[in-house]
Amino acid sequence: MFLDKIPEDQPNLLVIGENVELVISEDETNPLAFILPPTEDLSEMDWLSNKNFSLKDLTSSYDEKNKDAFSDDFENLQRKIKKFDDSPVAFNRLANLAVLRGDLSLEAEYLQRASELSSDVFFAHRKGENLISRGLNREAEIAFSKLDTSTDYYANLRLASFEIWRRDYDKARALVANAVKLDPVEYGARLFEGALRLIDGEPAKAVHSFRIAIDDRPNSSVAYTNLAVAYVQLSLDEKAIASLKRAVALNPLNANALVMLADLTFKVGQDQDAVPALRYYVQFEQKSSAIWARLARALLEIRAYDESIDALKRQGSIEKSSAIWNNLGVAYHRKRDHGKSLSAFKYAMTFDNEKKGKNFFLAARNIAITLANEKQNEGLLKFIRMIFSFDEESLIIRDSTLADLVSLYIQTLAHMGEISLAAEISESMLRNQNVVSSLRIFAATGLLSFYSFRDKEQDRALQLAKESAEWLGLIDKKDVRLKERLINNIAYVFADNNRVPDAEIFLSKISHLIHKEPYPTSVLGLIHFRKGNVEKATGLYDEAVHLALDRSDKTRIRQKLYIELSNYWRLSDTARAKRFLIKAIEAKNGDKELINRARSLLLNSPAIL
Amino acid sequence: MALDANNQLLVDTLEAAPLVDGRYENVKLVNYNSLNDVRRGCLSMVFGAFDTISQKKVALKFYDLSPALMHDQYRRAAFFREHELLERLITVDRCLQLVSLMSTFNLTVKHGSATLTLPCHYFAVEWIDNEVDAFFLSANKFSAVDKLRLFNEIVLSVETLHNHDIFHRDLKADNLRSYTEALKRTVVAIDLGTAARLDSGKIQIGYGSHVGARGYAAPEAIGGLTDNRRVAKYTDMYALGCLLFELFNMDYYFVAVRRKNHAFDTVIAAIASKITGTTDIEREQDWCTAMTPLAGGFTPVSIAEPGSSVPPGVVAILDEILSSLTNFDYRRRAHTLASVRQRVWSALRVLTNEQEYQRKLTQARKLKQLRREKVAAREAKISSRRVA
Repeated sequence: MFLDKIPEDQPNLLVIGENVELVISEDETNPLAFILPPTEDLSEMDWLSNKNFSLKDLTSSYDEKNKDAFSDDFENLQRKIKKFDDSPVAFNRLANLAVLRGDLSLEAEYLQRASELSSDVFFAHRKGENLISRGLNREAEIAFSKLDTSTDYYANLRLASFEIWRRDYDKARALVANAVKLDPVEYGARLFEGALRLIDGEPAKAVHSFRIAIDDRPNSSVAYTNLAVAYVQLSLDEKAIASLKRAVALNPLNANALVMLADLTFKVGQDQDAVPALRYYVQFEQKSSAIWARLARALLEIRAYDESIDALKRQGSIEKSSAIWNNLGVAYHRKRDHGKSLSAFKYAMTFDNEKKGKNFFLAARNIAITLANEKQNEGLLKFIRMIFSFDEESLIIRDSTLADLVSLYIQTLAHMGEISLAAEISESMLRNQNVVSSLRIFAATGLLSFYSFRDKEQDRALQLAKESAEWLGLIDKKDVRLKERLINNIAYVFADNNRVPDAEIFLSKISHLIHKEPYPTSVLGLIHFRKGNVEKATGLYDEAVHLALDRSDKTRIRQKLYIELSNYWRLSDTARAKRFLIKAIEAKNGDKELINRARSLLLNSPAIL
Repeated sequence: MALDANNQLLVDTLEAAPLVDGRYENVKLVNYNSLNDVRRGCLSMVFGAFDTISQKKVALKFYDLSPALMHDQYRRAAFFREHELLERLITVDRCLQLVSLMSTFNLTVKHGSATLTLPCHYFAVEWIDNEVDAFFLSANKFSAVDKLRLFNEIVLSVETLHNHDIFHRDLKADNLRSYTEALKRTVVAIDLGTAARLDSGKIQIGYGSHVGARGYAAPEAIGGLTDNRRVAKYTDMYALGCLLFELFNMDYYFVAVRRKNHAFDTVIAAIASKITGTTDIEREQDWCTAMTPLAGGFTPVSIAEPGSSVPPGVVAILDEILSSLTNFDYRRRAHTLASVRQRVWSALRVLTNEQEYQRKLTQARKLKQLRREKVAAREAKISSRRVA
């Protein structure tokens, strides 16, 4: 039926937020008007915004100190240079000091002087680097291209980097191959080679390149990070995680490696592995929104709710976005602080109030789920209808997460007894080509159940079962749970209509769920009823009742069992059959559709009458 | 910056005086360049003079009289500390020698109709002429053997200071002088203005930054342990490592290490941010605790960086020395300078013995060849796997 489970809370925190302009527009008729604004959290974020420590800020003060300190050294050496005006080393040192003072033009002058005194290729390289630092890439490329690439390892790599910039990978490949030939064990060439192999979609070869680079420079955090990228491309997540852990151990301030580690451990459900490194990083750099977001997500996954909320507030003190408030709402929701959760979601909606994009509807979706959990059905219907009215671009039905608003709406209608309207909306979802797969599956699953309970709709139930069966293969892997429910209902419709072989074919697709989940187990029971194995069937129904966690599911399965038993005894023991139907009708908090069906059977069966 | 009126008066008075303190003549300011108004050193006014008693040229160090510094307790204490250290080193070979102890020169200052007497503290040290700059700035003119012999002498001069529990803390080529006696060159570390003894009290609480030249400052000196005497020895070692590197390379070590480790200063800043202790031991512990996880990715600099003039046959030995002097973790630096000299002599023996040099060269080439073969074998294995 449509009375499926309420969609899950936003399963986890969304870590990529977008900066949207804050637009607050309060509407008095809005059902959210009674939700208080999150003033406490806002003031905490405001306070935190001045407290965030950044290593980058501190390091830049070191750079300033360097500039001052080396100015004296520079002037001192400048005074002496007459004594050493035939020495390329002396001019190179002046060039070093010029850079430390932040004067790249002066560096160029001194490198020129040095190169006039020495033919060492070192100076040609440095002059090229200087041009790059000054943004004169074209001139730098010309300078490097004048060098002998048959012997000059460094020139090959530099020229290759220019080719990468203009995306001429063939030329880059040839140059890097040349460099590798000149020095097959050197770090730089192998790192470059590995990166190119990743671009070429050859991760296994890239692993080889990065391994050689690591042999040459075992402490390179960068090489381990790249190695992890190669492992990810090979779908070797565990190896990638191990490599990233090494990268982060070598350089705990390597934000790239840390972000990747956090994302990967999240993907495989090992968030606890990234938490220590994330916690460590934020001791030094508290102005990285990306890291706070990941720390909050990982902490939420390991159920450290308070710390996760603190991390989100830190993120909120750096960046103001709907996504952060949405995430904060989710964290409060998990902590079962529904008041603060609603408050955060409502605040998230205000960010996107004018544009009404995905973030607006995501917050609305989260509010709807919170209201549904609190069984505020009337308010929920009113709220969802209002949200639908804002959806001018039909964003909701096109996004699998936002589509929960529609499924919630259908479910709530069913709860409120408006089954026909729920069915009507579900049919419209099936007809709409823009509807996202998950919502289509939800609608079909509910409709199959709806039609199968009505004698007059059995043809439509069978027709829908056949139609749904046709697009089973197109369902995305991520919707596997929904797909299983759909298959279950298809099998049910076939079994209910005495098409046992068809039912068996579909049930076999989810055979792994029999004896584990209530509904597939009960469908097998139904098949046995149809085969005449009443004892076996009853046993399976009893098992299904036992497996069901929800009281309403238990009741529904029992009701169906009574109807089937009534059907079995219909001809041989009408009184008994009648008793079963009455049991189905009188079931406490029973499913209304099944009650109606039992009533219809009771009324329409002459044998019983 | 032009000299202020006080110092200018001191210079004019001393340079005009036929004889200062009854023994010094031909007094001439030497650490100030009037052409560009730049002065070297920050604690004192240094004059060259002829000592009529010892019949030798000497350096007179006067405390700076500029109003900004005259009452600066830290600088004044440092000036007196330098004299105290030099007193302890009297008669010690390879150390700068005091020629006369701290004295006072009374400078007469006319202020309107009034006449004031300003007592000016000074002491005299021996004048050592020969700079060693050329080894570092014209490195191409000297053989590797010459450079290593010089380095050995530099190490000896610092080792002598360390043997007297004195740490220079501002080692750089500019602060080294040499003299030759009986064809033997001896190096002396001059300018002990920032030097300190293991047991000398701190003259300032909470140094804002390192003391001495930034280009030769060790990570721990930049990052908060500047005033910790217990690590001062290792800070000198780090500077020696920088000097060794610069004898054979185009770049300053400061530049080379940051070229290979882009996050070098970030790591120092990160460690420094974790130092909260109040005592030396606590601060050392804070440094070490924070450093362990942060400095693991440090990539060492080789003595044979691009443009290096180091003979390939001694790269391995010199790399070992360089690494033992410049290790990011001061606890992993050489414990004694004697061990450093031993290795310097090993390198010198290799360089002066052609047969030994060839053997080391072959060894180095073999090592590289072995690595290449290992990589080639791995590559062959991978291609055969692909074919299969």
